Amino acid sequence: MVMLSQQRVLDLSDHWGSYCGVFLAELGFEVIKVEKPGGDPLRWYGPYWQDDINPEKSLVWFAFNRGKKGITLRLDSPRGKNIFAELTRKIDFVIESSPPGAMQKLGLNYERLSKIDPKIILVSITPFGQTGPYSDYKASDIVIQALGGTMYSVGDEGRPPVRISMPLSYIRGGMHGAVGALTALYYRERSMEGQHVDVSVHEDAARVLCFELPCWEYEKQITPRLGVKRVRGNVQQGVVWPCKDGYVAWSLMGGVGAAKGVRAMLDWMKYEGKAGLLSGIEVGPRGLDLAAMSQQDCDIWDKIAGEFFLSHTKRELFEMAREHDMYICSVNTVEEVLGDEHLEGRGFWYPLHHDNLGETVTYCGPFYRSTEQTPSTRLRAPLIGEHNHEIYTGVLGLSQQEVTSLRNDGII
Amino acid sequence: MRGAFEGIKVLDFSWLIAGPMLTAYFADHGATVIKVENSVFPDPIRSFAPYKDGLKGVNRSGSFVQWNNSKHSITLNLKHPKGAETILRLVSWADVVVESYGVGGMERWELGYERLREVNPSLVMLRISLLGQTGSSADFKGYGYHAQALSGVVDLTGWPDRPPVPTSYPYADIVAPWFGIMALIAALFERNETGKGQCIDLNLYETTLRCLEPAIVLYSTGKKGCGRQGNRSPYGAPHGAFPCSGEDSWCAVAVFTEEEWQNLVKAMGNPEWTYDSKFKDFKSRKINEDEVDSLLGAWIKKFSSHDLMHLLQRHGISAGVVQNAREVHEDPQLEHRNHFVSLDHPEIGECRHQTWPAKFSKTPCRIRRHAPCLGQHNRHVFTNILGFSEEEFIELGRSGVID
Repeated sequence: MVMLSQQRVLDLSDHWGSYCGVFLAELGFEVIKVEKPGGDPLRWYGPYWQDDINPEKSLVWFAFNRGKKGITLRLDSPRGKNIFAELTRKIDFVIESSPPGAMQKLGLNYERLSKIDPKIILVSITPFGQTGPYSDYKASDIVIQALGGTMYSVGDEGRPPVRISMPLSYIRGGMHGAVGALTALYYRERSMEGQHVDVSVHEDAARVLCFELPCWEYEKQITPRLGVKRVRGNVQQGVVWPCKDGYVAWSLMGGVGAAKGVRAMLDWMKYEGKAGLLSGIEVGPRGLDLAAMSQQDCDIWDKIAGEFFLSHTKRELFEMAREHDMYICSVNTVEEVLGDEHLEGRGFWYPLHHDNLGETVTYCGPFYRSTEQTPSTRLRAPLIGEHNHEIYTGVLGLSQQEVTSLRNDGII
Repeated sequence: MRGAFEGIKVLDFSWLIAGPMLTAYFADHGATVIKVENSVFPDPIRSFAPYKDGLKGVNRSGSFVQWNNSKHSITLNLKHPKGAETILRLVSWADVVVESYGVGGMERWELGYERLREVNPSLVMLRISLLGQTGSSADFKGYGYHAQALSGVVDLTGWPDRPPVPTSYPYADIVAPWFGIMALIAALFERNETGKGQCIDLNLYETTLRCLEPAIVLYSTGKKGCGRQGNRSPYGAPHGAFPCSGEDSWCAVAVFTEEEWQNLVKAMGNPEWTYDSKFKDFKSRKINEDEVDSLLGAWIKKFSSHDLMHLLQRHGISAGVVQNAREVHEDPQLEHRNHFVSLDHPEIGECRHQTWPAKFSKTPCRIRRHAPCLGQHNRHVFTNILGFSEEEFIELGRSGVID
């Protein structure tokens, strides 16, 4: 992808936007992380490699910045601003996630940048967007999950709504930044015009809510928190089930497509003498009609299936499910994911050598495959100022003396 | 204003959520998207509740509306002897084909990549599956919540002393499309440069795993993650969802820095308990987190969730109402972003369509038409877009190719 590999990005973002550059780097973009001299605050988030508290060894830094080159620059100094303005002429994208208004104070908002280069694409990734009643509100992942509506109907009855215990909002922010950058680039190729892309992570969370929003709009129903169950149509069904060595995911399904699997699972339960009240039931070619089933009917299925799962391991259930389309799968822990033969076989894990550690760290592999090219990361996360020389002399054309002077004056 | 993808032609075989969301994004940004359905087997999400006025109907599903902005719907009988021939005319027209039938699905109708590219060598085909087109578990049949379970997201949701819980929405279905959009745009660039098409393998499992990458890096370097933590975070204390006045009403509060803690103390009116050395710094507050939560909770429960959020935000603290669907519909920030657009639908009447998280200054998204009724655009697609004559179109209907 020659065209994409010619694109150059300056990444000013913090954790809200950092993953944008990770995805763009995988597609071949040259992504240059801009840190303040001394290093970005994210480097001070642990855990650390072998518990060595060192800004070059933060595992969080590694994950959020792989694939990027790194330079240092004091953006809040006049000389630093001039350098940035000069760099703007040599690049295609600026990614930033500062509070709305901050770029304007620095003189680096879209209006100014586009005067330097009308083709520039500025991608701003913030919790709520550049304008609006919440635009200067503070947020973190739990606040986004809360306001976006994605927490309310998750969790056990009688307990608070619960979030997913992973800071997904930051990665999603980066994901939308990358989608926005690519969309704007596609337009730019035809029009020769850049533009400002304004990403709101909160707005993404609202787009995540699949059934809950129409349930309110059309039926004035609020989806309740049901723990391991969920609402499907008129009934509540189990989704997560304890088994012999952990948990599996399964829900009773109706219709033609699921008929084979439901019948096979019922036959298996009958074979093991565990079908109980379902022993006399046959599943026809059209499958079960869930809409016609009462809550009591569903409860019977759930009770018998639940007891059945307890006598089998995740692996047994998953393998039978694969063979007979039973729609049962393991609820994997992260360790089990790392040990998944399927992913291993697909070559999904991506080992990147960290020369500074003398070790290889495993990252996730490509987010897609293709008959033409598959994205990949070549670089580990940068050391502080690692590419100062390359970028300031090579791209900007400064002399070595100028670079040394900037370093001595604390500009880089 | 033009859409970014004006002129791109997408033939969309996908159904449910992941594929349709992706093609809706392209449609709202200017692409022409033709959704291929079938009268006997339409997109299954048309049979998902909720329905307008509780009355079932293929054109009355609110779930269908969510994912099908701006598209054209045609109904074809792919099993008809002339069905494949008609489809291949559409394939020649298209720049992109999107499908989500799973491994071998398109091959059933002899519409696999090899066949399609004979007809259109520069076609970009995007194939969405659960676990990938290849691999030891590729034959597993499942839905988004299965990919969510396999990827580790379910195990990380819930309370440490309770089983893991699913989310009420299929998480993997709203991760994969975004990566699919990136892959498609990259492929279109490649095609514009070289004229070559390609076939893209996108799956829900691997894309959801990308969202767990920090955990993967941790585990692979010998660290143990925290597992399910409820609403706690290793980086903040207090950090949780607190009950407010009102039934089932909650507000999330997250304090990470000493400055934020001092802001919270001030917001509470400097209560004496906050001066206890048990709460003097982050480390101490973490050790005594149960007590912090209990004392803070006692203060919080006097407030409504919205009042609390605004009060804490005025003091520079991250706080957000745990909104239910009604509150999301009424959210003032989403309204400011024009997130919900009301359109008039022939069977449903006025209904809300949703827009997208990125706003473009030069190429804003524009919902071109409401989510289509089943087969609504047969005539338009075959006569205006594909150029069939009126007689040919009538014959297609009469013979049952258009069903």
